[in-house]
Amino acid sequence: MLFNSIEFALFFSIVFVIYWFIGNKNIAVQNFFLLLSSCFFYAWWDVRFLCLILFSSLLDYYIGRGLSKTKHPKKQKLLLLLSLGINLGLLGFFKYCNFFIASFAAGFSLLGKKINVHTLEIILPIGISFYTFKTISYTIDVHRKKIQPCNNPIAYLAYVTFFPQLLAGPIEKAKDFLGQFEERRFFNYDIAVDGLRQILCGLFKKIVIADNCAAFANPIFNNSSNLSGSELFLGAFFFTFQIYGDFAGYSDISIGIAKLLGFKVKKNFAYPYFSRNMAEFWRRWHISLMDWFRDYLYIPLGGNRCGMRKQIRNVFLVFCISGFWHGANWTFIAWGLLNAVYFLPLLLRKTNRANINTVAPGRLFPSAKEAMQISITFLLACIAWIFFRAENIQHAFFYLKTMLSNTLFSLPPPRYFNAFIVILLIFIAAEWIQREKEHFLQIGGIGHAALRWSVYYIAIILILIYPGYSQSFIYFQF
Amino acid sequence: MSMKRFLLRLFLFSTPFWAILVSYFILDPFKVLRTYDDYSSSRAPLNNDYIATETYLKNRSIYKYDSFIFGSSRAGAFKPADWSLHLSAESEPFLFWASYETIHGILMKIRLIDELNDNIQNALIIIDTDSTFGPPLTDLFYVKHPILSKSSAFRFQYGFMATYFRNAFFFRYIDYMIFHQFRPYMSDYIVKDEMQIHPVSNEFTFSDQANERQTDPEGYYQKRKSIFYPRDMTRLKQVKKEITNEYLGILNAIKSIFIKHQTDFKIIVSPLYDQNLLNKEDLLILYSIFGRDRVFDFSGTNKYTQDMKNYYETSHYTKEVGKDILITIYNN
Repeated sequence: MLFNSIEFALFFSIVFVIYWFIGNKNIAVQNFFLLLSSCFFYAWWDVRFLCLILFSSLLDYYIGRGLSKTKHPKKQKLLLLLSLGINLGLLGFFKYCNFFIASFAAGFSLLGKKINVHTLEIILPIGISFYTFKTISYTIDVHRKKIQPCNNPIAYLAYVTFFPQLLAGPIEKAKDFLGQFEERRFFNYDIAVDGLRQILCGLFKKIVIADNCAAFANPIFNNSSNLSGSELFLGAFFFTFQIYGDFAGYSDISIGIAKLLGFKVKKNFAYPYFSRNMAEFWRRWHISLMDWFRDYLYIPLGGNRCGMRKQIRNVFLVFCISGFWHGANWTFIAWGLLNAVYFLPLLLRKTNRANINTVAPGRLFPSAKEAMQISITFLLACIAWIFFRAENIQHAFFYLKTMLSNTLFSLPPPRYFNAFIVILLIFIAAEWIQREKEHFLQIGGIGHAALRWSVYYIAIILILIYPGYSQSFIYFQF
Repeated sequence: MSMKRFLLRLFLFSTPFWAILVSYFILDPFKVLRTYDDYSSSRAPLNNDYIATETYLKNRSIYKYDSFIFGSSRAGAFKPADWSLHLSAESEPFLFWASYETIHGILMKIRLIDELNDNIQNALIIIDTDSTFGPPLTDLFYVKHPILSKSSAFRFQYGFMATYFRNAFFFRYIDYMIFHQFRPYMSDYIVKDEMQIHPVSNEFTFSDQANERQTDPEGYYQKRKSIFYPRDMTRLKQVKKEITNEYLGILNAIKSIFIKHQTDFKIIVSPLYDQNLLNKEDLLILYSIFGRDRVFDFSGTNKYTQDMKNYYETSHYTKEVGKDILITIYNN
């Protein structure tokens, strides 16, 4: 049941009505209903793995309770290790087992020894990377005494399985989000309307931008050996917007749905392609994941409160693990490492904390320096995405080598320049104008209602008449 | 109060969606919402299994069909009118076909006729070496009528409704319905060649194609020269054995219904352009179940498959071939 499907529209309409009209009086009923809806939503994908989520969630629920009951630090540590071991063990088994087996065999073959290995037929439970990080955040926060353990298993299960975030995040940490399942939620007209706008914004990004970009990017990446450098550059360019439209679109829909259900969710994307350096880019891209890595990996490793060598090690570790989190393939690790390399000069020059604010605040155009910085950051991101999209490392290097050859300056065939390019440019302009807002359809500033509604209808009509070929969300595979 | 305001806003927000939904119910592009007297000339792709079954169910009490041609679109080469020349005068033939029909689909149809207590006096089963004993296609336009598959009618209907929305199909369809102009962006969605379907016998013809072939046969094949790939007629190509135990069970079930109805049936193996020969073991199985006198194998290299003019394209042999095969097998 994709967010951009009729099935989901029907499912959510029913959930919305029951949630507000029947469960409105009682938080326990609302939570129970949310839990049931989330289970149904997940079971629609694969009913078998529902038990896995429930097992993983209940394990951490009881470990959290255990952590609060025992005063003994050793026992507490043991409980935490048990939670981490089981959760990461499950994630490792389902997601990385075959990768390790194949890499192990490949490693031996490099040494000149051939070993016969058999990979297992393991199905990746959808969303496992996301809900595992959610449950881990809960146990660690309880262990660190940042939050009290949850006393209500239904509220806790509803938090972990919350269907708008179940398949691809945002990864809301327990300390930021769990509390909302323990308080009564009220329908707020303004928030709900903004949620609706954000859903529209997400659908536009996914259906018009990402799916149309995919129609260009996929054939270019699949046929890269026969194309010129300029076409490969266009392929990387289109994929850069495909992945943004896909994941930022998904996040917008997810946040919009949460708003309609009375939740407050932090933004997951903040116009990353208008960043002035790669450090800023990573503060604006998949914010919930980078926050998670900062809180539960980077800071425990020492963060930036240690010597430069350790800081460099920490940055490389975080980016490398973040790449590996995305998928069991060397391409993702290379993508993570490349981003760490991008980050390195900023760290050495101690400029990684620069550019905290939005670029060119209150101005329509950026300065020449800002424009140059944005362009360079965008190009660096484009190059990194090649590793993310490529079939394997060899493909990525071949793609890059061909792209950066003499043919980079040849004129691409006219088939790449159609009406969609105009839509894409208008979308980029709209994002630029709205870069200080949460999403580009926050247009309350337009006083005239007719004008506002015209913008909504243009977006709706484009979604209906100009969709790309329907594709699943890229991040579901992670 | 704020919820009321919100719902009103939501309704206004979603008016384009409701408008499209209403247009689906009015236009019924896939012809699955209502039963029609004539399914011809649809510009949206149709589920031929559904249409054949609906036509049969609608007409069975009026026309008392008792003779059936089962098979894929290739069965369309056998015109009910040509076949009736070989049957008794009161026989009423019906072309009970479906795109990519499998032997399982054929059994479903035979069972339906049997369950409705209709008579199966005569039957032709057209077997294709490349698809009859293969897995059924699961695409919406190939799935079986819910009454045949005993599956959810809601799910079937819902699938078509969702298809109307998917990839802006509705936009391409409505554009064509208003302007009657075939534009490039419609190519994968709107049917260009009109299919005429006989409202009683369910015989179908691609009228544009048939007219073109009839008026200028030389030009027709000259234009399609590139699609008729060359074949190595000296080499014998036998398809791999397809009839597994599961299919044996299906074939025996068909046979037992035919025995019950005392059906005069014939099994015809299609003369396909690829000239692949039916697997010998499979042929022997067909002989052993149905009898040598009832199985007619036209696969491989023969007078029909050698001449490209016996085909509309590389998949479908012509109605002339069908007529000739009927004469051959009934004269035997």
